[in-house]
Amino acid sequence: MYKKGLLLLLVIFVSFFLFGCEIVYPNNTTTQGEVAITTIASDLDLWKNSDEAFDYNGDRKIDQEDYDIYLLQNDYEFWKTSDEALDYDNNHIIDELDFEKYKLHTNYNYWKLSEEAIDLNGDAFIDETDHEIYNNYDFWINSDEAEDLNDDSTIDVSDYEVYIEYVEFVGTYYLTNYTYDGAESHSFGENVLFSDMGDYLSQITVSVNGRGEFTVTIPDNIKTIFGDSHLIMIEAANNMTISRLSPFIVAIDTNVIMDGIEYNLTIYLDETEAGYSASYIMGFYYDEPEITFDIVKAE
Amino acid sequence: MMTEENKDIFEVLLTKSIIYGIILLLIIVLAIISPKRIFSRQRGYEIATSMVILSDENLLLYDYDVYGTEERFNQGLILDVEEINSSFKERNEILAIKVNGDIDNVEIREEYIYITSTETPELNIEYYLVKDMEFNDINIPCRTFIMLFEDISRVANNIYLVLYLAFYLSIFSVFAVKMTRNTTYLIRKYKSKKV
Repeated sequence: MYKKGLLLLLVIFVSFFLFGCEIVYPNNTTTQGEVAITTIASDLDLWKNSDEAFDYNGDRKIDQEDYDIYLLQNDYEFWKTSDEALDYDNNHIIDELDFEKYKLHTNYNYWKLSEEAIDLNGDAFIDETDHEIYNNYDFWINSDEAEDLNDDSTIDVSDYEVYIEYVEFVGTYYLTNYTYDGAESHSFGENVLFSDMGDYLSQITVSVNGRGEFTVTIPDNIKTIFGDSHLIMIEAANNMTISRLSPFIVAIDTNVIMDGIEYNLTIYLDETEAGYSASYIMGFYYDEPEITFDIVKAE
Repeated sequence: MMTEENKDIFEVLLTKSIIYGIILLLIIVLAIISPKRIFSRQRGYEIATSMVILSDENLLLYDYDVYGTEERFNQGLILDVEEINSSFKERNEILAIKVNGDIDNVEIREEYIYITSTETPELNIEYYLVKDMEFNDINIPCRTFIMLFEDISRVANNIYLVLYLAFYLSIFSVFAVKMTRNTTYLIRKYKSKKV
């Protein structure tokens, strides 16, 4: 009995000596925690290297926060515990069918791979425009905003495409905060110095309709002051097209014919709280004068 | 039996036909390999890209892409830049891209400007639209220049094509007629020889 006791003590001693206390008496909490962290980091790394990785929160890096947003759009359990979990199909239960609807409407990539993805505008491509139509067309067609914007006597998807292209620009604008930095002698036409144009331009209004068409309204007194040059302004306005080039840039393209030569002109607009601001350098003058102005949307 | 005189004519015709044939072949080959356009569409881009003004106020932030890993970033530098650049070319605009780098550096590539900047976040590609370029000490919008260049080159190419066709048709038709005439004589002589 004594010998057996000694042998047991020896085995325990050797065990402690060889393997260390932590293995003999493992600390479950720490180990599980470590394993969990390793797994998440691994999933995150895999995701970061996939086509799905995207800077969802716009902080210029792809990290755990973006991954959480990704999971919200792709992991049912994650979504169910979030504020986004709603009864989208009105059957009084929040279940996977609601999650399916949520994903189809919020996740373009998921929608594109689903059976719901079809070429809704008939341009032979299934792209983000089709997803936009999938999400909002039904609402638009039943709203007061729906109108025949392409003049084909029907209100359909092609009108909605025109609508989404120009809706953000619709309104009446006036020019303000005009500045001119250049030689005093430069003039627009024969009568108006560029340095004096601010007062005149502030009286001119420009309207953009739902088709993206421009209408310029020039008061009679300004027409008289500008002389024939006001016709160039009207021609430029009639030829204007406005388009969003990217999330940061809006461009107005136009062309005018002067002395038989066609001039193409592009003004890039920066968005401001009240509308847009723009600057233009007239490079054809030796001193390269610059004009800047704000385009303010009328309330 | 062929007479001595007939034999001489036959040889002369054969030599003439061979010479005209070679010249005709040479004209056709030259017509095929000679350039049909003086200016390519690419040329306007190359000129504009080499003359852009790269001051900060002349670069408008267009968009940016963010990548999770170095591998994806390198893929983006090829595929995404190409996609954005093709949309720029459609609009006759010049693209500049900025990526993170230890020093600020500018590299003018064939179709776009490549800028390394310490201010650009890592694993980001920033896309900029270049507004103006300097041409003969005149600031001119890149888009205006490219469109103007395209219009001028279209006119120049058309004039060149007309001159090109007129030149080749004039010499081609002369040699083609001479070649046909001599070959016809040659065949006649050959037939009469057989008879």
